[in-house]
Amino acid sequence: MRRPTRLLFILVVLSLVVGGQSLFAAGYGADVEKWLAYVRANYGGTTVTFAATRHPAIDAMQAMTDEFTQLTGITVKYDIIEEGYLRNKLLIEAQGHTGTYDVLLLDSFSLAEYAPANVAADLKPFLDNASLTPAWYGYNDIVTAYRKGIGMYSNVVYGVPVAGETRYVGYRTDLFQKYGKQPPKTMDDLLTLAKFFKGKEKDLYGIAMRAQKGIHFASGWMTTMYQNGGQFLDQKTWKVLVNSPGTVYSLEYYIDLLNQGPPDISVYTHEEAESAFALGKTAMWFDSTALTPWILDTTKSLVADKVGFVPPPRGRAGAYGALAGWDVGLSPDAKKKSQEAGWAFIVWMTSQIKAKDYVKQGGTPVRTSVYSDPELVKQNWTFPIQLESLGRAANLVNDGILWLAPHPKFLKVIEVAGNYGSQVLAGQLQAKQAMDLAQGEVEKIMSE
Amino acid sequence: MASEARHRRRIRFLKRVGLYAGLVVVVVGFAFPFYWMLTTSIKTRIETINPAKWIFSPTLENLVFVFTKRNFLMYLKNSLLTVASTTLLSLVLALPAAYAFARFRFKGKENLAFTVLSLRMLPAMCVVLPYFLLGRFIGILDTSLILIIVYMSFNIPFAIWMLRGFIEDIPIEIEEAAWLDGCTLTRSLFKLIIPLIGPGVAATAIFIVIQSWNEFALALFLTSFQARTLPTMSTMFLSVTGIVWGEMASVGVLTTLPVLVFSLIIQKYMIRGLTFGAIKG
Amino acid sequence: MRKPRRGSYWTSRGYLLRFLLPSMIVLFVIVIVPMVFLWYVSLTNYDLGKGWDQRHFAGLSNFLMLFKGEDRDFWPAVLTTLIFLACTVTLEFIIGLAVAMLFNRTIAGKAVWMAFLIIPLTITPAVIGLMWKLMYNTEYGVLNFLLNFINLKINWLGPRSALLSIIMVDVWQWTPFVALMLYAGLQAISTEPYESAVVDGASSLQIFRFITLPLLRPMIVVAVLLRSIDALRIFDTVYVLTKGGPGNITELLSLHIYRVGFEHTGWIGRSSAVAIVLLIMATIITTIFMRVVNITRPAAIANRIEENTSGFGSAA
Repeated sequence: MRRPTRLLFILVVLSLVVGGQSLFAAGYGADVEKWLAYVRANYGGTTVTFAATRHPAIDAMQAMTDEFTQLTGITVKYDIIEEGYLRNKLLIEAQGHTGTYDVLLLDSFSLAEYAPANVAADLKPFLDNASLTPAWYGYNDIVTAYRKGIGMYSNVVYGVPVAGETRYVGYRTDLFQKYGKQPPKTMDDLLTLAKFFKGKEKDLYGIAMRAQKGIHFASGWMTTMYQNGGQFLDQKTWKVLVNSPGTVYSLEYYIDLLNQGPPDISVYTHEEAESAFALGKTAMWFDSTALTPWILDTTKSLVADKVGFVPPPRGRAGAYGALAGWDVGLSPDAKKKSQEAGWAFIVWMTSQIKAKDYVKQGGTPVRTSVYSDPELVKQNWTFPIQLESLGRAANLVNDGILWLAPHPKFLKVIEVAGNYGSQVLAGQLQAKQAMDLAQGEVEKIMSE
Repeated sequence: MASEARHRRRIRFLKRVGLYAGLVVVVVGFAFPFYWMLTTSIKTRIETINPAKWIFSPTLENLVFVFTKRNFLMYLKNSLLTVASTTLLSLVLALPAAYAFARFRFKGKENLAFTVLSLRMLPAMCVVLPYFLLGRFIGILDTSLILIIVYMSFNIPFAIWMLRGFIEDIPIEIEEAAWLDGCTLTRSLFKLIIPLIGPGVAATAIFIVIQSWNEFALALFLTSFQARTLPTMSTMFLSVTGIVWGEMASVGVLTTLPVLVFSLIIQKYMIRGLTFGAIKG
Repeated sequence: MRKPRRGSYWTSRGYLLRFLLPSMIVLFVIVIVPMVFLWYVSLTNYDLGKGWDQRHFAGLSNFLMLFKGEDRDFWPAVLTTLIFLACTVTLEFIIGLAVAMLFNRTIAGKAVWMAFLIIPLTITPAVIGLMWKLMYNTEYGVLNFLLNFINLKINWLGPRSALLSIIMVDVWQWTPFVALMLYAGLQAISTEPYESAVVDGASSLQIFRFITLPLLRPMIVVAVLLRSIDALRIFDTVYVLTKGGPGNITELLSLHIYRVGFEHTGWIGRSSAVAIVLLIMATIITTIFMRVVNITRPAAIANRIEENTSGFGSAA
């Protein structure tokens, strides 16, 4: 009696182990299973290397990687580097054609630089490959503004958006109620309210924004620039508009706004801006939607239960919003097999079926289906406001302007502008003066 | 007479108190930020950005997370290997050269000493690109070897100058006396000079270890997976949404500990005071 | 090898080469690559975004643009760097010497006290920058929190105090280095001269001026020299604290080099030119320093070596 039972036992265990894979994936449906089997057969055992920065999207992907490895047999190694250094590292690795990394996290800001430097590969062949990219992937479900605005440059698809952001205004509902104020609808409202709240109570300032020398200053400035009628470059003729009246006005406005913030705002990155607001030091905050979870988290913020949000206020030039974000792409220098395995990884992580998991693990929503999913909307009351803000971002695009001008030298331009802007904030230069100087430098850059 | 003795004793006592008070001031001044970092590593984020909270319930989750999820041990191993190797190699190579600069006379000595030092004058970012391209060409990118070699470029000059200073401190009579007794130069180097500059070698070793241990830019760009060292971990906590203070401070503290331990051990050799009187006798 | 006459070891070619060559060769090989690269690239318009093949020879234009004032932040960076250098090295020397002398006595549990002293040196500079940035924050930093008790609130990283703040961090981090070096030097001094001085009735100040300082000289020279060179290349800490801002108030040359070459502008050619200028500046400063030091070098030590290495040939 013992031997047959033992045999049976062994058989059961064996079949569980062998069939365990499919048992696991049983919750996914036949087409998914088919794709998984294909990937397992062709790429099982490969190691994919992923260069990224610390980002909630990456945190989410890391949390989902174990399951991915179990289902496909592909191991993923992450190299997490700070975004500034990441950019440099990717550029340097591309110079040496090293192929160290297969999958890359690409900043939409830097796509204009990455493209001519061959940092990222054209993803169209991969998207068109029917066996690698199945129908259930749902590429077109990704919000159009993100797909076209962040993932593409010069009509080439370089990345799949994993984190999109626009900018919106957060405000303290308790303070506004106390003083009978309404959340800002126009840019003038914003400035007036900031001036009103500065110093209204002990240690209270008007607003928190980014102003650190360089790209942070520029990024903060651009949040308010287009609505105020400013632009660095005419995006049709590429004429330099740095010292145009609109741009100078937008700089003066921004400096005025910053002066209503904490005294050391001149070294603020998004980190300090969010911290200041979350600690209750400022009445308002105007920054990325991607930071919302931290503001609403009680272990990270003192104002989680007394904050409201509104879309970016309308300016004299229109109701515009920012559009930036992060994509995942592939390196053209990677070895073919690990590159394709990397694509399989991207497909899985950014697919429609995994999108809900992704958001639950902390990822930023990029898909229309996610934004309208009733369960998720219930948990994230800011989603409708974010969608509305995205609508304003779309306004800008519809008026023919991309938030990040699609020119390879654009980053150099905003670096210079941000540098001069910071000097104006420090009181070393007047706005018009600084912009005239910047105009000269930028013209030189554009003509090189 | 007794009151005078008492007076003198009191002054001595006050001097002792002053000494220890001074030490406390020094220690608090230099150690406070570290203390702050230590407490930050066991706080939650909101407690971190809220300095009013000096009393909080500590959480070890940051430290645990860093150890288990962030591959801390691998980074530690790499750092240990790289730093131990570069320190040893640099000291071994630098010692004879330091002696040569300290004692020998030759044309262009000071110029050479200077050129050697000038190699240290450039910020790390200036040399990242050439070393990267060279490493790629040879094929040693992402190995501890490339870091060991590159670190020697600033460790050896440093060691040469430091050891030179210590050797110059030793009166030449001692060596001459030894030679009179029939000792050769090499033997006197090993048997006399090295023991005498013991504290100097210890001090130099500590500084080389510290500098190599904490080197950041070259480690970040020249390695990616296998040979990553501890300092590069700090960039893992500069998240796009904000700094993950708890984890970052944990890594900061954990990175400091091995070096501190090493310094404590080596200190014994530094503190040991030597008097030439004892040797001559 | 023929055994040299005693006393003439120090002019023996053979021994000299044996001692010097290994490290010199290794150094030369390691360093020649970046040096050549730097000099070469500074004469091109190499741009990180464009790639190696697209570089063009640009002659001295990168240098000329710096001196003609086309790079508006260049001269301010030079000035800021010099101010930073002067302040940090001076403060570190004075405080370091004081601390070294404090430790140069019998102290209970000296090893423990010294361990605290070493701490700032052992922390990764980038982490130091982040911690100090947290402490310096005007709204939620611990320094202002403490100052609040005496009704003070300093805008540490604002336009007026930023330079002072970064100097403070550097002094905090590196004074222990100077202190330890001088301490090791103090420990190595024999007690003989002190004993005879006390017998002769010299005052503490006289002992300090005429015995301690001269004997400590080699260590002081090395410590100040090394600190000067390192102060010129400091990067991580300042970058994290202020990134060179507000405006260009804390933009040291090393930060300028980084910003021009890597911060979205990718002008490696121009950046290398600035690096070369930094190199030349550092060489000039340290050469002047060494000249001054050698002029006032106590004749005693130099002469001794002179005496002992000449005229031995005649002795049997």
